[in-house]
Amino acid sequence: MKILVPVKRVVDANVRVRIGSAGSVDTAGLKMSLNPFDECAVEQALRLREAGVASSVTVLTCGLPVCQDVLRTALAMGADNAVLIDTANATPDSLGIARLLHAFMTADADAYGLVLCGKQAIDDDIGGVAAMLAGLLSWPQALNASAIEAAGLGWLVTCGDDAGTATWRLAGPAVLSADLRLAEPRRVTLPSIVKAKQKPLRTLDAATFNVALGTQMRIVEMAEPAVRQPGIKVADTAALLDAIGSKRLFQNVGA
Amino acid sequence: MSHYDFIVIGAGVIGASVAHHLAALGAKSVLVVDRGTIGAGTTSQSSGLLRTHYSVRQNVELARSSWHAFNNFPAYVEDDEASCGLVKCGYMICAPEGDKLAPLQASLDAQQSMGIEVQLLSKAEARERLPIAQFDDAALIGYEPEAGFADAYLVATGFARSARRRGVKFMENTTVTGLVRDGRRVTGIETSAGTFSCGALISTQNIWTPELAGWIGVPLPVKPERHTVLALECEAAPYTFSMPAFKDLGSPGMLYFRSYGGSQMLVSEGVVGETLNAPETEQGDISLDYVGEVGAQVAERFTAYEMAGLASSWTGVYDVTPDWNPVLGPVGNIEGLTVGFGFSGHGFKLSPGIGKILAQHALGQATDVSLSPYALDRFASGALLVGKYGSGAVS
Repeated sequence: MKILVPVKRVVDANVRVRIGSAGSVDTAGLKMSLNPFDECAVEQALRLREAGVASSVTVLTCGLPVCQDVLRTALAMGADNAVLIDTANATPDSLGIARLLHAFMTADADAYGLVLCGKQAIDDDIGGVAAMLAGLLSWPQALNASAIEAAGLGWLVTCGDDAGTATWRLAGPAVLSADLRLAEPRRVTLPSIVKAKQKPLRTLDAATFNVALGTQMRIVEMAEPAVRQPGIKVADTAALLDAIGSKRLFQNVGA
Repeated sequence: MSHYDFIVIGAGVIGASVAHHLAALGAKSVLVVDRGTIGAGTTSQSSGLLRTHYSVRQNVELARSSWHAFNNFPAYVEDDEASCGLVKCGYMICAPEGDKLAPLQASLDAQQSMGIEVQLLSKAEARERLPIAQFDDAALIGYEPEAGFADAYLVATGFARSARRRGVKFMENTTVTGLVRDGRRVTGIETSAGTFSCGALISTQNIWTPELAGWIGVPLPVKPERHTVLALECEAAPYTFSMPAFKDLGSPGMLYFRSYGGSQMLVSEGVVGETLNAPETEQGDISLDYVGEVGAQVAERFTAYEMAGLASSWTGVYDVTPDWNPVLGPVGNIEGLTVGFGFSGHGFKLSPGIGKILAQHALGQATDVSLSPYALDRFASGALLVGKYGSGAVS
């Protein structure tokens, strides 16, 4: 069984992004990384391969050639091969990416038994691709996974949701998305960086898939978060309780 | 409009040190303004190495007085609870046969002639101190026991706390937008929080110094340069706190090393970095190829690190001058202005000494170390302070 891990190149989690003069987030020269959730998905896929559940791990990203660097990172972690779908001037939204992935899986010589995504990308935080791809494939899905276990011909997946966790049994090929708790990513080692250069990395032209890549999303406005106002000092405990009460600070608790 | 006798722009480790020393030397009314928060700019990105090994003699003097401050930090700032995070592990430097050998010999001789304890180690002695490295190619190995590394952020906040205790006011998240002038004299600053007048202004603006150049109409030669730092982990050969910080003059990148957290290795290149178009401390991109290149250099010296893992990586920014040494003192014929900029990657280790002499200069007192070699006009006169190792932060 082969695993496909779709990944995204994002601005590093330690970078504080700012809105540039063009009204969008300017990432030129900033530290870019493999999306942390995708890193967990790669790690989980590698563990499944090492446990003998899977035979190979393919990482894939959709974007410009510059995105190859995160594929190299995933290859250095241990993925077997990588695919870049070059989207050129297109800026597909989540549905466009899901359609590309679907078209790729349909056309590719390899048959994948599991798609393991990160649950969301830390740049736009949408988290739409996994569910949309499952819909297009008509495969079962389990999102925000914190534990994955092979069970017969399917999967036993523990997922977080607003109420707590739920464990789902999925039959056959499936689309899963990884929470950060799923698997702590391994470190890239110096020998693996060298080895990664020898591993196969295919580049495919998005146009060959004949998929509509126009985005349905429109950014209305982008703004920096409001500057946090300084706190106030109160004289004593009674004044503190008064202040908390009068500002109704806890009115949402229990709601 | 509020008035202060002294205003310092920039609350990095240099500005905080200036503020501490101004107050400790008797200044009664001092304001420090910073665009961000104390020590959060380039200071927080420092690797924190402390050594007196320099090829420029004035730097040795400043480094020696600064080492005294780091080594006695609570007493120096008169606060028993103060800590600079010092790890006194010593500093080892080695050169193979070749162009770095003579400068190393000369620098070690100069240190010794100034009364600084420097030992010349055999390869076996070097290996005893740093057993995870090999010294097959080493032609000369120097070791100074009174050295190590400390935490630049702790030092900046330590100086700031001391300054506050002595009455200095700090305004964070306040951007200076211009100067107030009266002819040739600087008489105040305009900021996002209003205008403040002053008797004397001290600029310690680091990579933001070009803003000052614009306000006073005098070119100040400093560029922001980004450098990459890696933390490597090798279970077979942990880099412990008892092992000295190490400079490898034989490696193409003139790498420096130290323990990171007591088991990992912090390593970075000591050569020219990536010049930025604008002052910016945000994290820069680090390619896997670069990690591989530096890693290959590391493994030449630390053979077990051939298998090392990359634990983390980050970038820091230097304020670099044409000769990789700072500019200290007045600017042209402008009165009431003292500048300190262009520390070129070695400001932290000099920060106590530099804070003191800038404060002394602003107070009109004699300075412990002469400012004249660091004068701005050296770039016009040609009396540069280029170190014997060429461009780079060893100086």
